[in-house]
Amino acid sequence: MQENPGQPEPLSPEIQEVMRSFVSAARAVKLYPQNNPIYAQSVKKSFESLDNYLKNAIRYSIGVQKSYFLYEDIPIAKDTQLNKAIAQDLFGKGFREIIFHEGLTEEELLGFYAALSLSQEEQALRSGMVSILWEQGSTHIKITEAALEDVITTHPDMSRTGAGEKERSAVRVLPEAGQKEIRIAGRTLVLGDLIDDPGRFAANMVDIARETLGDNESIEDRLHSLYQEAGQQIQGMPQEQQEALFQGLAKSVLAMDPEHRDKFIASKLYAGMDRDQVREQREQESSAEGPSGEPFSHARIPEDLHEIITGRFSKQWTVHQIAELLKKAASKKIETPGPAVDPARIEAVPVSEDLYGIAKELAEYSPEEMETLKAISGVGMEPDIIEASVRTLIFLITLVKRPGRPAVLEKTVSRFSSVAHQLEDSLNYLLQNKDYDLATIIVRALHLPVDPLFKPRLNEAIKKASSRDIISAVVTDMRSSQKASPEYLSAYAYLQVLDQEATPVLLDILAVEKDRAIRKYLVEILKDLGKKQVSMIARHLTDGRWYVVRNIVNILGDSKSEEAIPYLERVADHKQVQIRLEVIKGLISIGGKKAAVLLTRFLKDRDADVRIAAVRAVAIVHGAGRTEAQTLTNFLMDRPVKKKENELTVEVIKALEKIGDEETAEFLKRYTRIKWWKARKPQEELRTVAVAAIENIGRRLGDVGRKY
Amino acid sequence: MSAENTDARVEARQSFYVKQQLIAAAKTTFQQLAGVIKNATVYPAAHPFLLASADQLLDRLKEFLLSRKEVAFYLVGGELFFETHSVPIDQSLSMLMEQFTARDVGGVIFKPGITCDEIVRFAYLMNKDAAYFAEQGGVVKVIAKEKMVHIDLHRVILVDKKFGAAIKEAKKKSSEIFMDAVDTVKEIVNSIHLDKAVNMKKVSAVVHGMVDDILDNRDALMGLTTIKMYDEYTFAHSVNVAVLSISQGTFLSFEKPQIAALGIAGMMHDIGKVNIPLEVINKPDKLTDEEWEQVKRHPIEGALILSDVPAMTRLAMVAAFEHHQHGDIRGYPRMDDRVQQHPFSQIIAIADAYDAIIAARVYYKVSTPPDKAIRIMLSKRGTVFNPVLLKAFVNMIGIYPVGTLLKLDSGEVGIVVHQTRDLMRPRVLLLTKFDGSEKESGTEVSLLEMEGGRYKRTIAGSIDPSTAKVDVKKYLE
Repeated sequence: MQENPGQPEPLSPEIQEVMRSFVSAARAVKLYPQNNPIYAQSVKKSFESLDNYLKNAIRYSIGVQKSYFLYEDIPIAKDTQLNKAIAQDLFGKGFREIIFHEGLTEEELLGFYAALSLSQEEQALRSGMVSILWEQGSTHIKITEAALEDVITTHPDMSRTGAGEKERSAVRVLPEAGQKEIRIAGRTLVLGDLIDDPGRFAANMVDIARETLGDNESIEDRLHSLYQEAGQQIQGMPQEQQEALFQGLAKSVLAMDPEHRDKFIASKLYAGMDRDQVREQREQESSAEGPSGEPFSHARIPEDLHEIITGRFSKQWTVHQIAELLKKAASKKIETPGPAVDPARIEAVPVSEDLYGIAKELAEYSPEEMETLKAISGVGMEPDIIEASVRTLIFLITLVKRPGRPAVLEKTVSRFSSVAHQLEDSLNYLLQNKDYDLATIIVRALHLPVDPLFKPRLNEAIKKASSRDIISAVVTDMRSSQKASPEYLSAYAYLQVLDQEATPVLLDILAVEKDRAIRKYLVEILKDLGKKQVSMIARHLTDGRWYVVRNIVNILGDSKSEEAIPYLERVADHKQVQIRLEVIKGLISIGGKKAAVLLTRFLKDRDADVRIAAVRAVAIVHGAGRTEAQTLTNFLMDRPVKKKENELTVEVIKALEKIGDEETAEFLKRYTRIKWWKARKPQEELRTVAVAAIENIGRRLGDVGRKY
Repeated sequence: MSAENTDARVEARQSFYVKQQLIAAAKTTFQQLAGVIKNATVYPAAHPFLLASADQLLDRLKEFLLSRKEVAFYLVGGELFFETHSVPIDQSLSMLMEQFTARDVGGVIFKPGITCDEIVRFAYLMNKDAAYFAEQGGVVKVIAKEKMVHIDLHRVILVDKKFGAAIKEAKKKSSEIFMDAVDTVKEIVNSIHLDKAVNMKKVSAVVHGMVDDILDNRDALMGLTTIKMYDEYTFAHSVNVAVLSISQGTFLSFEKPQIAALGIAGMMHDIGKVNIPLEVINKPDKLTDEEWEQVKRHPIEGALILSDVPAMTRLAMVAAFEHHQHGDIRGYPRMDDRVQQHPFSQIIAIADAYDAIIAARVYYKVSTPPDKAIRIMLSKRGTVFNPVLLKAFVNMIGIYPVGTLLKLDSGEVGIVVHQTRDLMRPRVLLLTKFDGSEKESGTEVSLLEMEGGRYKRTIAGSIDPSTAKVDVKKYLE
């Protein structure tokens, strides 16, 4: 049969024997204590076979693969189950190559096996196997651990390299004398790549990670270990070079293909930092208290950090960020994957007894709880969606602007506008559905104090909320409801909250409304709304439509505010009699000295009806007194006693009867004397009225005298 | 859509309250059946005690039959179902169930026209030895021979197969739906980053798919929420919260549009985090107080973003704004204390916190066994979480949720695949190889199963999958 040329030559029995005894000893030291005879015998046998071999060779090299061993790159007893288990264990502990050199002593080997028997944690505590052997003074055993030891070296002149081309020759692999170059897929990595070609460095790292992957280890696990080691190497270099190298290392991470990069950064670098933060917090937990005096809660930790983790939507990492994370990773112990475990033998967290009670309690609902659930099952429907969204939007009005951060003006205004728009939409919906309560809340919110930047948009919304169509609809709804009914009050509250915005619209509606009943209704509403809006309402006195002006005068008069008097005075000479009469009515309604004085102005009105109305008004207006009485007596002084003018004179006397004093009474006596040369009838008419007035003035003054 | 699924959705539309009442009535009925069968062991057929108990049962059955074509009880893996509702069982019922199972009875269906005589004869029949049925060629034949025309029996195996197949089929579909949802969240985030319009049609379509899937079988998608993907977690968390919220919505028998709105709101609850400055969110160090304040602004930012998305359900904006705004002092943004969170926000807050606690086990190596997670949640009853909604949530998710690795007192290890009425007795898939192969060929058992009046298996404890190095994903995808 033709021999396979690619097949390696079988290893000599001596080599195989050394390997067998090595594996046996490695197993024995794991299983038995040092004082056990099997332990001692196995180590002794291993020494004997090695010693024998090294008599004719300078070294014996054992390469550690995931599940088998190599002798000088040649697999050895690959299918042996025992070898597999030990190889897995050593690989898991980070061993990659063990070389026994000639001159090996039994004591050195004993120390080596003793160190081998240590757990992974114990080895790590003592800074790894290499350190342990070094401490023992062992010089004939060389260990290569999973790392980039010996393969990463610095760019020697990096700090001095100018802007010109970097010297590739300066970047060299510098294994120590007598030390074998590490073989990781036959590659070496140079730190110069970090500066010149981070992409290539990353690609090499990924390749090495793939090729040296252990059981129960992902590419990202392995990459993490490799980058940790690279970082540790960098940390051992001169301070001034470290930053640039870490930046290069970060660039190489960012240059990886996205699949590995994203997982590596998220699951290793950031996750590592998060874990550290949790650990730190937990350490504080037992002693410290939170800023609010609240004890740190175990349950709180993940929630806080979770807010960050679930916020890492973006994968736009910076070189600085990754470099910082790599530095943190480098300062930590390198974890190697643990050996495979049998899940069936894993200790379970036992069920505590009270859990059964909790489960029972949770499985039953009390009648109250059932009622709550019944109520909840009705949510998520239109009415509560609107209510909840309105509530949220109102909160947002004051929260749009980010505190302490410079904002892009346009963007901020646009965000605010969007909130206002949503509120407008909600408002329209609510008004259509006649939900005035919630609509009123929205309008009230539109009046909230906000940044001046946003005010125009709110004003716009308010204007929309008080459009003529809307106000008309509200009035219609009010008219269709019984006064003081909840529906009426709810709609009316909407008008009230609109405040000054509703009034002009109502006035406009009033101006064009043809139905008298509706006009009357509108005036009634306006009278109430207008009480505090005199000046604003008064602006409409200039309206060209006399009936509009009359309504305004009516409303102003009904405001009962002295503030309205100057405005009424402006139209006291209005060409329309109806308006002048309305002013008189208004002045009566307002009352007071100013109103009384203004009323007397109408004595000179060109219209007799107005004059009479004014005199009657003076008689009844609250606040009229001596001055007005004097004005009236002066007015009477020049009046001829003629039939056609008697009507006004009678009214004035009657007015004086109400407001006059003793002096007035004295004045009125002139009407008690009948002059023979004048017409008798008018004189008698005036005498009758004057006598009654004098008597009543006397009676009134007498009453006052008794009273005071 | 199969008739079975249609029925399931019709059932889902019943209010939670009505459903609970129905379950209570069903339990009483089955207890009455147990009473008749027990009386038949001590009294002769004409004895007034036996007849009275049979009459009581008959009245109850007639009441049920007023609104349905038949009254069906199924026994599946130690669990009792009335139609499709799981009925809580006690010792007396479990004895009867065991008696039925031993006689190969997996389902009892009472039809209109049932008489007292038939009930009594059925009771006597059920007291016969299992061997008798074997000799006669099985229960179905015996019933036919006895001419009990108003009682139908189903054999155990038929019922079990029917239920099992439905669960397995659903799982296959669910992983695709889950990943679609993750991709959709990514797309939304990209759209927001680029100031582009969010594709609401796609969001709705994906959420509708999730709702339909969960309505068909809640366990499949919910199981996927326990799988944590490091590099995709920011997106997957949003989907997890959506899944848990939708599940809660179906559990509470919300209407479909409500559930969909809840799903969209769940998916969008953290969207405000896209506006947290990158230098804060990707900071390679602890955050300062000021930076934390920026993080805590995400509910506001989320609400602002969502308020500007046309066709987005308003509840999404509300929930984004309120999901941290609970009664606890740490709630934010702080608003008027008199304002109560919308129930949807409360549901999402529970789902959000639960996913955070579960994630802690994976991401920060904070060992939180499933029951501890529930205890943490329960410790915040009435302060952070609505106590009634939390109770319903735990009843839905279980103390040992789907995907939990359990050690059983039998020494076996199993993975929870379905909740039962008993929070401490879920259905589990027994694991032997731990390589995922059991998903196809493994044995599924209910911890409610009994033998000789005792439970066959009981939970001994829970196992952390990462310690045991079991890839739970293989069983849930």
